Amino acid sequence: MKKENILYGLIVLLIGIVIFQGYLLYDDNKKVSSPEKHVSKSVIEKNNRIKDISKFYSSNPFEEFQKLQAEMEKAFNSMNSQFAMIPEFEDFFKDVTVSPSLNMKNLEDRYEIKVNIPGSDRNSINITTHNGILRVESKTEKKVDEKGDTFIKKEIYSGRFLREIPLPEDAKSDDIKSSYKDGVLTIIIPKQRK
Amino acid sequence: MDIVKSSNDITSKVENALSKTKEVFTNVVSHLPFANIGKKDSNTYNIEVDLPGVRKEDIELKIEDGYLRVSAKREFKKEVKEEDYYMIGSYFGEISRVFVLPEDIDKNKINAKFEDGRLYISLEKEESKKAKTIKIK
Repeated sequence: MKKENILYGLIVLLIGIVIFQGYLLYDDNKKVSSPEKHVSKSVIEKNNRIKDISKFYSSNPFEEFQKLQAEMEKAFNSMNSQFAMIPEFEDFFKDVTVSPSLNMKNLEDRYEIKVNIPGSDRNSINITTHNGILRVESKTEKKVDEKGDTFIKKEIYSGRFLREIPLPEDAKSDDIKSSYKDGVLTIIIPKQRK
Repeated sequence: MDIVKSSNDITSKVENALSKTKEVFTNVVSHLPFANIGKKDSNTYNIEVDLPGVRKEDIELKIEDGYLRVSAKREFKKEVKEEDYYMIGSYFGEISRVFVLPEDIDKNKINAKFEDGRLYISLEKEESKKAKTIKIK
């Protein structure tokens, strides 16, 4: 029985990935060729995507490709986090770690990184640096399921978060401050004075 | 007989897997905040919505016509310009999601709590519609 499951799961996954990649490329292609139509589509989409679109039109095609790649990686991550929550696919995605999204600010005297790790157990948050790479990992809190609990929909990821961020050269990696509030981990790294 | 049974099994499994896959893709592409919906026992529903980086004051929870709407705003702070950002991973702007509520929910007994970036909502059925155990004499 197990072997069958694996085989069919793999087939579905492959088909899904091909379709999904095709859709993403088609979607981004549409946005590049007709920007005006998409700006007026809906408030949510506008606010969420317009900031990315304005950065999409850089004069450097290589940069554009990098951005497209980053978007696809983010989408795949989101996909992984969802599949890990479905009981039929749980065996495949048992050891998966999800890369949390982050925002990184370049200020005059420091770098500020805000990582989205909602629902994490404070004691399990681990920040380390090694060779100029910042590594953030955490585990979500396990809520005790009581008897009689049934899930109608389960989309929120519970499991491990892991992200490695290469730091710029002028970041002082021995002097890192961090705080966790409202599901967001804020990391402040001072810059070296020249 | 065996072949028929196992092929039916397989088709239903593949269909199930495909529909779950479709759900996952819809979730990912729609940019909606993720939510868990569950039933605690036959009289209580639980909804958890993931809203990282949002402050409690910026969340709006509204129930209207049998729909529960959760909306939140994340703004760029005024003193920071967009050029300062190295990388923008999480979206700014408006987030919103609507849940269709079952008919027998008591509107006055909705509890909401916001903790660590996650909104916890619990809903109860109206007294008259609650499930009751009947004793046998």
